[in-house]
Amino acid sequence: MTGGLHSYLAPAFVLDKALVLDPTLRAAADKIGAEHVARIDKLFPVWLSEEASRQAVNKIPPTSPWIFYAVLARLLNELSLWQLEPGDATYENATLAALRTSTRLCEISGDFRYTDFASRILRIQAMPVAQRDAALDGERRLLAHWGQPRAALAPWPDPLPQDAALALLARGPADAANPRLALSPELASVVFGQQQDYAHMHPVSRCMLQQWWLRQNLHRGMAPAAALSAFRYGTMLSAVDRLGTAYDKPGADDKPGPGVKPPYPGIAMRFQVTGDTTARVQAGVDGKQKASMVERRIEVEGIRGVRPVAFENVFDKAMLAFAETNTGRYAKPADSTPQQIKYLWRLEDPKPAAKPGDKR
Amino acid sequence: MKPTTPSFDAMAGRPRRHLFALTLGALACVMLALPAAAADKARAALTVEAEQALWRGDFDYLDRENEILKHGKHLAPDAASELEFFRAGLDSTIATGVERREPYLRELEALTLQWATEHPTSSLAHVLYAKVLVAHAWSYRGGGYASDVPPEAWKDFRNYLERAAKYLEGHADVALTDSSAHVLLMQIGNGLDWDVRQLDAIQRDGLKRNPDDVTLYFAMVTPLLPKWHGNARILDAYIRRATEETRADYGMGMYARLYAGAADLEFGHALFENSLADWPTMKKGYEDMMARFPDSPDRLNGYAHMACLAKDRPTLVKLLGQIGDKINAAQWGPNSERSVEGCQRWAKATGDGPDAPPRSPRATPSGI
Repeated sequence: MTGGLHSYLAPAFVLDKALVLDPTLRAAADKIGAEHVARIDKLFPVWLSEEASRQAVNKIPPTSPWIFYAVLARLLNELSLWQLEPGDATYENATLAALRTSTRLCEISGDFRYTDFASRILRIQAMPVAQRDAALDGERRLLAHWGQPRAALAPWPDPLPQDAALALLARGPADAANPRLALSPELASVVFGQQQDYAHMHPVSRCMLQQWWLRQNLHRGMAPAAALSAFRYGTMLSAVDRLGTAYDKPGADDKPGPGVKPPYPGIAMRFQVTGDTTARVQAGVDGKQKASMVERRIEVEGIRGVRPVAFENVFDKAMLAFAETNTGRYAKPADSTPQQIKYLWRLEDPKPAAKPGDKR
Repeated sequence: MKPTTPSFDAMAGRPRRHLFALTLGALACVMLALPAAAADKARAALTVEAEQALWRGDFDYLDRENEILKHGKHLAPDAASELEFFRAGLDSTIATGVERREPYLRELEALTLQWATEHPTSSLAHVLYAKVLVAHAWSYRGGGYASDVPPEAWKDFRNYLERAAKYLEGHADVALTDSSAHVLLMQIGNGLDWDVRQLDAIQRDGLKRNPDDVTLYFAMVTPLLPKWHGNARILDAYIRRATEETRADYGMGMYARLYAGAADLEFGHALFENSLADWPTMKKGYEDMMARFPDSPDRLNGYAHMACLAKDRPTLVKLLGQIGDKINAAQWGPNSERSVEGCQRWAKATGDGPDAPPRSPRATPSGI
C-alpha cells in the first residue's frame, strides 16, 4: 500500500524536464521535493496504521482497499491544503508581486494532474533573485505543515473565480463602457477567438485566466489576501481534477432528467464522501437557469481535523446539473431573489465489497 | 491583385496556436528582407521570442528588445535585418488565425491601447496599437483579389487604415522616433493609395530616424511596382538611388537585393524580360554582398537562380558547384522545385539548344 500511495505523491514533486527553470533554482527545488517525499513516505505506514485501527471497529481488515483509499484521500487532501495555505507576509507579498507582473507563471508542462510544485517554483523563479532563498524557505515551512491541523482557511469564493471572470468577459470588449484589463493575445484567442468554455480550456489557459482575474481583482481594489485566496482556489487541483475521470465518465452526469435524482459521483463513492451541498438557482436574462454553489459541507473517510478541501467540490457538477435541469421546481425569474436548494448526499451501501484488483 | 500568403511556423511549444496570413504590407517587407535559411536561424532567437512575448502579453520584454533594435546596425550573418525578424514576430501574433477574428482583434486593440496609455513614452506601444488597427483593416480586405472584397468591407478597410494613420500622426512625437512607425505608415499609405511622393517623404523621415533600417528601402518597392502605382522605369530609378545611398555598407548589394525582392513580389521568372534589371549590375551586387557577408547560403541560392534567369551559364555553373547539395528551393522563385530542376539541367547541357530555359513572356510595352 505504501508503494501505491507513493505513486500518487511523487508525481506532484517532479519538475518536468521541459520546464524552463534556472538550474540553481531547479536543483534547490528538487532537493526540497525529494526531502519532502522521503518524509511523507515515512509517514504512510503511520497513517495506514492509524486508519486500520480506526476502521477495525467496523470490522474492516487492515489489508482492505478501504484503508488504502482513506489514506489516499488524506494524501490528496494534503496536496490541496498545501495549495490553499498562505505563507508568511514576506512570502505572500513576493507571490503577489510575481503574479502581478510575470507572464510566464503558467508555462507549466508535464502531467497536468500534478503540477502543484512546478507552479509554485515558477512563481519563485519570477521573483527577484535576492528573494528566492526566502521564498524557498517559505516552501519548506508550508510543506512541514503536512499531516498537521491548519489554521482556518478562507472559504470558497462565491462565485467561483472562473465563473466571475468569464461573466465579466461576456459583457464585451474592454472599453470605456466595460472598463477592465485586456486579455493577452493567447487568452483572447481562447476566450474570444475560439470561445472555449472553462471546462474545455487547456490547463495553461485556465491558469492564465485565473492570473488575469487576480490582476483584475487587484485592479478594481480587492484586498490582496482575498484576491490571492480566489486565485488559489481557482488553480487548486482537487481530487476530481486528479482522479475524476478514473471513476466518472466525462459527461455522464451532465443532464439528468427533471425530477431524477442526481447520480452519486463514482469518485465520491470510492472515497466514501458524504455531506450536504447547497446551490443557488436563478434565471438569467437569456431565460436559461443558472446555478452556482453556495455551500459544501463534506465528510470524507480518512480526513479528520482539517477541511476536506480536495473533495469539497466533488458533488458540484452533479449538483449544478441537477439544479439547472429542475428549473420548473426551483427557478425564479431573473429579477427575483434566487432560490436555494440543498441536497443531502448519503451512501446507502457505504462500503460494498471491494472488487478484486481494486487495490492499487 | 492577389497578395501571396506566407506561412509562419506555429510557435514552438504552443500547439494550440494557428497562424494567419500576414497583411500585404507586412508581407512585402518580410518577404523582401528575409532570405529563408538565415531567417530560420534568426527566428529562433528573435522572431519566435517576439512572437511568444506578445502572445503571452509580455510588453516589458518587447519594449526592451525594441529599444535595443531600433537604433544601430543589427544584422544577421547574411545581412538580414534583425529588426525585421522582430517585427515579423509581432505581426505573426497579431495575425493569429482564430475562428472568430473580430472579438480577438478588438481585444488586441484594447490591450495595445492600454499599453500605450500606461507607457506613453514607448514608441513600440504606439506602433503596436497602430499595427493592430492595420491588421483589423486587413481582416475586412482579406488576402484575395480586389474583386473578391465585399463592397461594404472596403469602407471598413479604409476606416481602420485611416484610424491607424491618424493615431500615429496624433502620437508622432513618440511614435515617429521609431522607424517601425514609418514602415507601418508606408504600409498604411499603400493601402490608402497615398501618392508615391508622400510615401517617399515618409521613407526619408524614417531613414533620418534610423539610417540602418533597410526595411524602409524594401517597403518602397511595393508601391513602385507596375501592379501598384509604378512602372519599370520608376522602379529602376528608385533602386539605383537606393543602391547609391547604401553603397558604403553594401556596395552594389542593394541593387541585387531590391530587384530580387521585385521578382518575388511581381516579376517572378520574367524579371529580366519585364523590368529594367541589368544582370551585370545585379551580379556585381551579389558579388559585393557575398564578399561582405560570406555566410549567406540562401543568398548564394538566390544568386544562382538569378544567374539562370539572366542566362549566364558560366556563373550558374560556378554557383551550383559552390552550393553543392545545399540547394534551398525557397530561393528559386515560383514553382521552385521545377525551377531548380530546369536550371540544373540547363547548366549541364552544352550550347543554347533545346535544353535552354524557356524565355518568360514579356510584359506589354506599357508595363515598361
